[in-house]
Amino acid sequence: MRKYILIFLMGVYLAGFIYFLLKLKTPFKDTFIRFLDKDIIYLNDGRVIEGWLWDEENREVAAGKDIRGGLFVVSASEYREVRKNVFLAKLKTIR
Amino acid sequence: MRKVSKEDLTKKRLSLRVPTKIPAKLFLEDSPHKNIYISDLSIGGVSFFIKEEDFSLDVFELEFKLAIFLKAMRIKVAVKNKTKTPQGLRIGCAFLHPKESEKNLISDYICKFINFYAIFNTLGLASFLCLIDGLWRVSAYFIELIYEVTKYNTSAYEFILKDPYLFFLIVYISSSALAFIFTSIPKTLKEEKRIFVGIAFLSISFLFLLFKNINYWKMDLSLFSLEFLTLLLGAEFFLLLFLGFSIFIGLVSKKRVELILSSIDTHYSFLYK
Repeated sequence: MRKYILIFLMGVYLAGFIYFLLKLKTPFKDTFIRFLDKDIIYLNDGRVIEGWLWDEENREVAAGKDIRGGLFVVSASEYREVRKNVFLAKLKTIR
Repeated sequence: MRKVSKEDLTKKRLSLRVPTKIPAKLFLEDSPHKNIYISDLSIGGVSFFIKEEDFSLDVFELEFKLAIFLKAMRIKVAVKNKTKTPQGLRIGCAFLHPKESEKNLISDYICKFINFYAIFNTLGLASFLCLIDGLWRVSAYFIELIYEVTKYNTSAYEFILKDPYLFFLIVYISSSALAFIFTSIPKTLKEEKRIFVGIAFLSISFLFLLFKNINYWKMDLSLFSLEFLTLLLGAEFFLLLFLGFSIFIGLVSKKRVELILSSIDTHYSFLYK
């Protein structure tokens, strides 16, 4: 009986995994990658900006695109913390 | 008073008799003859009490159900002994050529009654939960791998070699899956060793989980909300405790498992083969 439960579980898991891999060949891939590498900027006044930071040489400002599609530029003195690739970092920590 | 022979005593000791009050119908040549209550049941037979003192039947059929949703089984029985007691005449009967499915149903009923299956169900549940835990971890690992490959054009091979964590994950999942298979309910004494192999595999999963739990306490978890952390750490700690508990139960039940299985084996070999 347990053999069948195990085969069923592995079968469902593999089917889900293959479905996910196939889905990565569609525009879902970009959505998924963007979801994984979303950054969070914690401003000094308590506000939070969720978006994607551009890789800047200049460390004096944090600039990027927020989740609504607007652009933002925040000077280093205005934010207290930047967390990059938040969801990915969470996965790495708990896996 | 019936004389108790040495053979009878041996039978009693080996017999896994469970007290019951199962209504049964006594059939004689395919027609119902009498309603009785089975007072005890073993793999080899049944006993019941009747009021009248002259019970002359030697061989008859007994129809009874072991659970509401099960089909009634009708088994031919032979009277082995009659004993006068204050409750009436106690009739001890042995089953004659029951079907394999009937033997299994009776065996299941007795094992459930003596809580024999609880040990294996606990071990099975613990290994199944570890398996689920391992599967989500491996999914998280592959998501990270896909991200690295897509975003930075790293080769998957390079990524896997860089971090040997996948190897530990595979060991964890494999040992949990094997423990799940090996700790299934044994039917004979020959299968008893298999249980302890299963416990050994489960111990590997326990070590992995212990290491992960210790690591969680060392990590910076400020990324997570308090609710999520409580849920995650609580679930992981519960799994670790449950796993430890089931391994402990499995180990301390060794003698009991041996005794019950040898008793079941003896019955099968003496009565049915």
